[in-house]
Amino acid sequence: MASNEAKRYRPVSAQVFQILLAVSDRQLHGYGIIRDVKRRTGGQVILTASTLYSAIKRMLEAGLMAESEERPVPELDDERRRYYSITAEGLRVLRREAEWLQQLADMARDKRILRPRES
Amino acid sequence: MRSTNRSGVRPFVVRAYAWLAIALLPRSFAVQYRDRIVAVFSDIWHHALLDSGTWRRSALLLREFSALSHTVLCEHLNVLRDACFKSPAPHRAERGPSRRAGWHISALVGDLKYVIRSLARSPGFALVAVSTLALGIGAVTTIFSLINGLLLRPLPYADSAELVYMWEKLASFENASVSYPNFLDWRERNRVFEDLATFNDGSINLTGVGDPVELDVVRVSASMFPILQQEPELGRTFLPEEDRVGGERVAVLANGFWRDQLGGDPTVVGKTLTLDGLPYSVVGVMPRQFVFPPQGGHVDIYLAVEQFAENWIDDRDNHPGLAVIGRLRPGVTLEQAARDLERVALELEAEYPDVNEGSRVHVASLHKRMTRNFREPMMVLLLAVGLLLMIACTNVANLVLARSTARQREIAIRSSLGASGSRIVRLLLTESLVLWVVGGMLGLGVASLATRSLVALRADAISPIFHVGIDLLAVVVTLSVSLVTGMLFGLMPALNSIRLNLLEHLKEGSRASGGMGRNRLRSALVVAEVSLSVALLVAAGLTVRSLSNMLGANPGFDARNVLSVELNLPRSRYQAEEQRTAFHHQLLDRVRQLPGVVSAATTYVVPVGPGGWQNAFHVEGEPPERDGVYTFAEVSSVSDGYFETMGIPRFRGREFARSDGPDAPLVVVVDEMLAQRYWPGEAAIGKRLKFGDYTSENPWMEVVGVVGHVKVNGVVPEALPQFYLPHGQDNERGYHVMVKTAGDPTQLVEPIRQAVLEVDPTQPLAETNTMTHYVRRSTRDARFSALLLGVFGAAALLLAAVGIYGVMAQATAERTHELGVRIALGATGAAVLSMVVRQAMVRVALGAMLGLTLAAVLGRLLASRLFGVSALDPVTFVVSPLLLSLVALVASLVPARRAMRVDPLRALQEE
Repeated sequence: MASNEAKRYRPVSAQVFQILLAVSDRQLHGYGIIRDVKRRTGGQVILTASTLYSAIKRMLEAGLMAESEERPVPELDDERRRYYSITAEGLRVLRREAEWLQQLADMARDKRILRPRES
Repeated sequence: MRSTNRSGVRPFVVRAYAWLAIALLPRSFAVQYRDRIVAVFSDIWHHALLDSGTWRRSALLLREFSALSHTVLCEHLNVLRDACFKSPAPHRAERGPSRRAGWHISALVGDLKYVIRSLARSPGFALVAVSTLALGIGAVTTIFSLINGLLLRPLPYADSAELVYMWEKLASFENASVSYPNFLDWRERNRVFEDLATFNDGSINLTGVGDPVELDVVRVSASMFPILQQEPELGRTFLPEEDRVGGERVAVLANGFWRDQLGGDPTVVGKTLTLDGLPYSVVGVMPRQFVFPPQGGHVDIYLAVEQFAENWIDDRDNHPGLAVIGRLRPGVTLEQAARDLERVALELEAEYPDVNEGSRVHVASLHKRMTRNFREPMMVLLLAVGLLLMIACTNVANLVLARSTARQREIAIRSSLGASGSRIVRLLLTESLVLWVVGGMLGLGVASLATRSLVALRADAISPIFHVGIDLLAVVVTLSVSLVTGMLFGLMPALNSIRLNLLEHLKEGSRASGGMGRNRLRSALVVAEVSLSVALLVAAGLTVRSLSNMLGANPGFDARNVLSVELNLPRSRYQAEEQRTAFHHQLLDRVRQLPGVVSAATTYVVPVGPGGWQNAFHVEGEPPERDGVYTFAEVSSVSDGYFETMGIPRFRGREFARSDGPDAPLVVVVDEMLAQRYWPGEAAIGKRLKFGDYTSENPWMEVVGVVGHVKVNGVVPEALPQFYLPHGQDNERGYHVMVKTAGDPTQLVEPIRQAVLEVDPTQPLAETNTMTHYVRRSTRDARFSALLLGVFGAAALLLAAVGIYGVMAQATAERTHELGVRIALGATGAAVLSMVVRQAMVRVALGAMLGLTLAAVLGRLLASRLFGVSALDPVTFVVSPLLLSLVALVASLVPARRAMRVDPLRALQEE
């Protein structure tokens, strides 16, 4: 199992991280994810329609996301849209990645690359 | 059935994206995700339309389409890999997603960086590849922009899809203008149109505003503007009661005339203009962007049509150049409209059998009618540029292949260091895509320039209702063409590169020749390139030969130093025949006196120029016409001295004289074609003919002369026989003064204008041109096609030469070792040379044969536009492949000579 564990610790790509973040607290449809990512990153990460679904396909296969059965109230709903939400596994990967990023930032702080965090 | 515009259900961009996604994504992926991807793209595009400018939208499209192609590539590779190393699903889920989910997103950037670095290392290759593609894609985009502007965009009228164009079909005349009483009945009795309107054009003299000038006038029904749903910029359009014989005289001004001639006077409505000596009050001004008639042409003023109808309002047999436009009722199709008008035509035929026998209605959408002359040539050009693009792509695929061979060691090292086959394919394919997309971008630049110059070249033939230029659609099409061809042609060398045994390769060292598969692929590419080039060369050759026949054809007259000056005498002052005759005689007498004038005459019809008069006629003693099918001739009325002025040879009998007046016996001069047809081997002089069919009561006219045949409509295959009436017996108000001069004919325009003003100080000149101008204009279509196809043919030849050279150079370089051994074993330089050349020429010969087959197909498409040359013209079909073979021979000689000089010692040492 050790080798599998090691694989899981691999950093996920910026886009996958952002997609997981987008659906971490609510369910979103495809275009909603693109808008959320664009807004939060200030346009630094822009997902295109095809890369989004290529990623979603992989993430669904890997059990990081699930297609949501629940739908919004009818007046807000659009039939052709599919909604996605994060799974427990997805949340774990996301948390681990965030922790890893924090560790990296801490390392940089230790070497005085970044300013120490104010407590 | 209102047409949808920008806010329509699915804009073209989204449809193109969806089409690409369906066509290119692997099935397993597409089944589940295609609709979602397209829906999201549609959302993105919809929002971009609301809040982005053209540049940001173009950048967005570039990003989305590139990403789509990258996704297509990655998903195909995934399918390939899954097929090879399919692992059980639970294990895959366990393995974690991160790497695979990530790589095809971030990998694009990484691949791009790698590719750009690698291309920067060989700038020569990149430059040749990109400029070749820019040429090919640019040519396609140019022709596509023309097709888009001319054939695809809606006409600039509100809901233009509902507009229908109608004209008459007579028993003996396929395409006739509409008689006014028939128009009134169509309008009254149809059940499918909201309304109908008719129009024709002409000219009218304006006096009282500076010098007298002749204005171009379009006469329209009062219902025309409401049908077009066009409001005026100032004032109003016509009222129904103004569109009557004897109605109040009112005028609507075209915007250009109002601005240029009247200084854009904002108070012009209510003012009076003197037209043909009569007062007309201005009631409105049309907006600047309004174009009518749809076929274009200069217009100064619109007048109500029925005010000019006193001669034809009751005459069902008179077809005074009228065409009809109607707007379909909602939900009515063109077919239903055609059926309904067929019903009306049958009713009219039953009611007026003597004049309406066989009369029917042609119904076409306005758009189709306006674009009828473009469709066929555009398809030929599209095919030609398609071939050119294929040649360019083949060429670059060849270059990429050659380069990947040269990089075999690099690839082998990469793969021995752990790069997977799919990753190498991806890199090579990304490289191709970069080349194609950059080529496409440059191609857009090429197309933008080319489109502008083509439109400038044909400004006279393209109506302002068409807007030709590079637009978003052209950008999308260019990108799609670049990506699709990039995928197809990039995949070949890429897949080829991993079919090799890499380990073997490392061992072999630089001797590697790439194996049989690679050579076969390269040969196939050369064969394809040669065949496409030969086809294009044949098409170009046929067109050029046709043009040279056209230019060399004898039009039947001598156009040198002949000036044509059009005059239209106003109805108000030249009602009586004596007035017209007096003017005519005085003017000709004065013009003939002018220094530099050799001879002068008048004619109603200028050969290959303006005017035209075809009429039914009956020759005495011929059998009666049946079923309303008449015999037609080209007719003109000419003055004395006409045949001499135009250099038309006179074979028998006499010319007209002034004595052939209204009271003298009626006479005609016929051309040799008519004489040959009706009186072969007999003297034509003294025979008689009359207008109409055998029952007509028109008087007989006696033949007094026979002259040469004149190609009045330019060099068209089927021409009608001709006859001429003396001007004194058919005294029209409009005619052309033809002047043969000793020197430059344009020097005489001013003296002739003075002569006209001396006879009538209010009479302007209309169109003034030399006969050589008209002759040139009659061949402009042919010259245009020949120019374009000639350029394409030359480009194809050049590309083929470069391609063949590249392939042969590469093949020879790879065989250095083998050639060294051969020479060491005693092969002479000549033997090596001939071996290399022979190998090249076998492929060229095969390609040429395939190309000739393709050319035969292409020739069929061209056939209807060829003059004096068969679509299977043996000369062109022999010369084109020979020319290409010659070029190929030269291209292969260079590497062959290099092979001949291989130093056997060095070749063997290099191992």
